[in-house]
Amino acid sequence: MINRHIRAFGVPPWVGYLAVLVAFIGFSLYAFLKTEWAVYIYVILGLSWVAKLSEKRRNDFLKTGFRRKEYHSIRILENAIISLPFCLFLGYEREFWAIGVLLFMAFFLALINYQWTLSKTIPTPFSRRPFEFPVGFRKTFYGFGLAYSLTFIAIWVGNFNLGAFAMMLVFFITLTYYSEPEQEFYVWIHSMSATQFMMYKLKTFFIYSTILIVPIVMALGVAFSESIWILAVLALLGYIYVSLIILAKYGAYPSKINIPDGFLIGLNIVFPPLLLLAIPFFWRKSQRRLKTYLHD
Amino acid sequence: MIDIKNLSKYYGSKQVLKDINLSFEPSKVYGIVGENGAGKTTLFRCIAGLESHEGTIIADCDELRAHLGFLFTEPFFFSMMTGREYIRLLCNARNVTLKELDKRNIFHLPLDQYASTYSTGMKKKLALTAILLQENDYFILDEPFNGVDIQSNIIITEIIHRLKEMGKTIIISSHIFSTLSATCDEIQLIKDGRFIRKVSQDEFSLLEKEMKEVTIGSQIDDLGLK
Repeated sequence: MINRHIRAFGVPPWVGYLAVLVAFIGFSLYAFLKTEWAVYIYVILGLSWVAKLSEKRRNDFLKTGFRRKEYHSIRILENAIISLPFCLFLGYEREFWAIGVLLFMAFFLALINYQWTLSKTIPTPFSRRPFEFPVGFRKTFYGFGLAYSLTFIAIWVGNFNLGAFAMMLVFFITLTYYSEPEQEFYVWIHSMSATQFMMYKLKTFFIYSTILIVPIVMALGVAFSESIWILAVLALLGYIYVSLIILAKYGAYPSKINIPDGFLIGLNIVFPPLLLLAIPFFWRKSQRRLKTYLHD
Repeated sequence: MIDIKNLSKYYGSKQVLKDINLSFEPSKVYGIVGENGAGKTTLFRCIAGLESHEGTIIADCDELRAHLGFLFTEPFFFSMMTGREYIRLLCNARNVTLKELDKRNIFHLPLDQYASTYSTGMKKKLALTAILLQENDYFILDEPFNGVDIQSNIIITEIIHRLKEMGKTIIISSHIFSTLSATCDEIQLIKDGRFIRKVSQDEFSLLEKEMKEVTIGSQIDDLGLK
């Protein structure tokens, strides 16, 4: 299955494994170099991966196919495999206590199942234009709480950069709303042309992300009025890059954004003038892809 | 009217629909019957414009898919999207202004709960409500009665009758023969991607008997139940 997922990104599996390995080592070295909290981040990261395998429905399925003893063996083995790279690096960093914590928790999580069931509907200000923002907001509302708190702290301690980071965090969160292609039915239902559809998606993003950043921009604008133009430039970049992701998403639709397109997006972040080429490129691609599902 | 001529569909080298010629007229309800994998859903997807195909599908409106309500066998719902938002999304997509939704919620669905937490039958009723409120002229209902309680079954049957009276064109697929005989004017039998028989209302009971004989035959005896 992992091989199939990697192939879906348009690369041979061995390239995918190599890329993941390089990224993992690179991230690990960087994290331990940059912060003394790296060991804690590392344990939490490892456990978050392990926890994904404790999902109730998945494990109920395993339980129906295996006897109790076999099931527990499989779950312990799965969690051990996921924890292994983290343990190896923690060993390299001589953080043996963290290895103990990680392995104990991995073992413990192998014995339990959990299911996130939220009976109460989280209110959202974005209900009028489903689906990205209402659904996304409910999943990430705490991120906005963090961004607004950081803005408050930024003003309190007089740190403009922290405030600017808070605003960019909002854009980053909204970007995640466009990371997965939706089922084709949700495109097909629109009686719009491909152009109208893309404009509708971009307009919704502009309106709703503006609602989310306005409190931050206003607060920072009052506190750091001399740096308001920096904020304006950053906001513009935020709008442009998320729009680029939306275009790239529908440029690859119904598949996910592939590695070459992802690489192109990365290049645009490093070298923004490339946006002049990338935006028309992804726009044309999205028009071609969407014509299958939408009107002429 | 929907006119299908010489429709064929291939998945790779496998032909799943074979030279289909069909016509669906307004004010009529058509039933499509066939075994699992016979090609019913593929045919529906072709009509909806979700699949490329050989042959032509022509409707007496500018763009069929803009007037078509498609009820999937298993409608998909995003997690953390409420029933109300789902209906709003479908109506927004067709530029239909949504009015008095609570009054029009005839299946008494909990519209402010997440649709993904609904039961199978409730999901079906939500998806059906949404395509009805879209004010479509054509309807494809793939297994509309599956998982739905008996009261709602009666309501859905009545809705289909009303849609027919309003001049809409309705195509239904169902594995429950009684629901088809209660709603359809005509039933088409599909086997291995080919339509093999057209049955009119007065022959429905005969068809059910025939199907039982052909389908069951001596197969259950072969099971050797003890």
